[in-house]
Amino acid sequence: MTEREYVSLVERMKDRMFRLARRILCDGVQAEDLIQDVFEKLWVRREELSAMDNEEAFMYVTVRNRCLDRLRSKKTRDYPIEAATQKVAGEGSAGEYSDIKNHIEVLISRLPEKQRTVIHLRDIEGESTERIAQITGSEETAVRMTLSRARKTVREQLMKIMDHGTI
Amino acid sequence: MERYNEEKIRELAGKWSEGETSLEEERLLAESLRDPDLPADLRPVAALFGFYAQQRTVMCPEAVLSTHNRKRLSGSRILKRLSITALTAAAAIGLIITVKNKPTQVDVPTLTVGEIYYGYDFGRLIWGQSENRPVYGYLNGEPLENPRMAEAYLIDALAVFGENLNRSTDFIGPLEEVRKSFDIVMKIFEYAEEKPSKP
Repeated sequence: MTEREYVSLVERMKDRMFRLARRILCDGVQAEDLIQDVFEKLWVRREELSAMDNEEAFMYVTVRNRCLDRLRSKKTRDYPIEAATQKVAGEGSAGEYSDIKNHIEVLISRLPEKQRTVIHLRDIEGESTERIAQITGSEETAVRMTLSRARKTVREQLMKIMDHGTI
Repeated sequence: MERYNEEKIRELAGKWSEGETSLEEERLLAESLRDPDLPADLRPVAALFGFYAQQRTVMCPEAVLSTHNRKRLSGSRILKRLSITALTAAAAIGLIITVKNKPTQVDVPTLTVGEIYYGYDFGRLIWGQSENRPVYGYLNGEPLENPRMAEAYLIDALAVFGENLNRSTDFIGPLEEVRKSFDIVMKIFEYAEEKPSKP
């Protein structure tokens, strides 16, 4: 892979990689740090990248694996909800939409990591189930099932919040 | 822009919750959910689609990429590693000579980077070290006293060195660190030539 090809690939993928890291770690600062690290590793391994059939999926996989390593190293699989709530509350702007956004952020952060990853890749990045299956190392039917569980959980909980008039 | 009616939106939202919609159906559903007069039961789904659309605008901070580019383009890490590689290469040359001169003192197959340095005076000769202590390499002028760290740097350095062998001398020639690295290697060679004649 030439330097130009590498730069083009990174330009194409950087935002998506950052968003995935941010979603899995539930922390923008940690995501920045992790992505920096991933870019450096990928730069050293750029020859391997060019030999791959699907380099974009590989980049997603690399980000996810690094995130999982980081979560494991903290001996916690899921991000503390209280911390997530504080973070998103601090990021939002005033108004009704900001409240809804904060609630959705927290609801997604409460999902198990796999559901969080699948819902992110599908509903935010618009990836196909085939590619999500490649990234998560699952079958497509399993991806659909995980996606369904995640969507139902978030939808039902959001419905309860909105019905109770807290928003 | 195509939009579904309420009944169709409801049906599709159910299918979407089951994870059974195609990407095209999801695009049309998103478009239909923009209607401000949606019934209450569809508002949570509309809120989710609105949230997802907003999340797509989140971008990787420029600082992350610019830091990466700076490191990548400056080559400073490569040079740092190159320096270690040169030093290690020098040590390896030293080892060969030492093994030749003192074959009974070392067990070649079990040598690590640290052992290459330990006990010999190459470090003192090249770096002006006066203390007789195990130093397994140098990074930015600081001694590496942990053999595992030195070994890890060596492996890394050799990989980077290998990748850059085909770079033009115009690129690396004018750089100070590279000159220093080659000087070290040259000194080792000089030492190798002088050593047999020393008492």
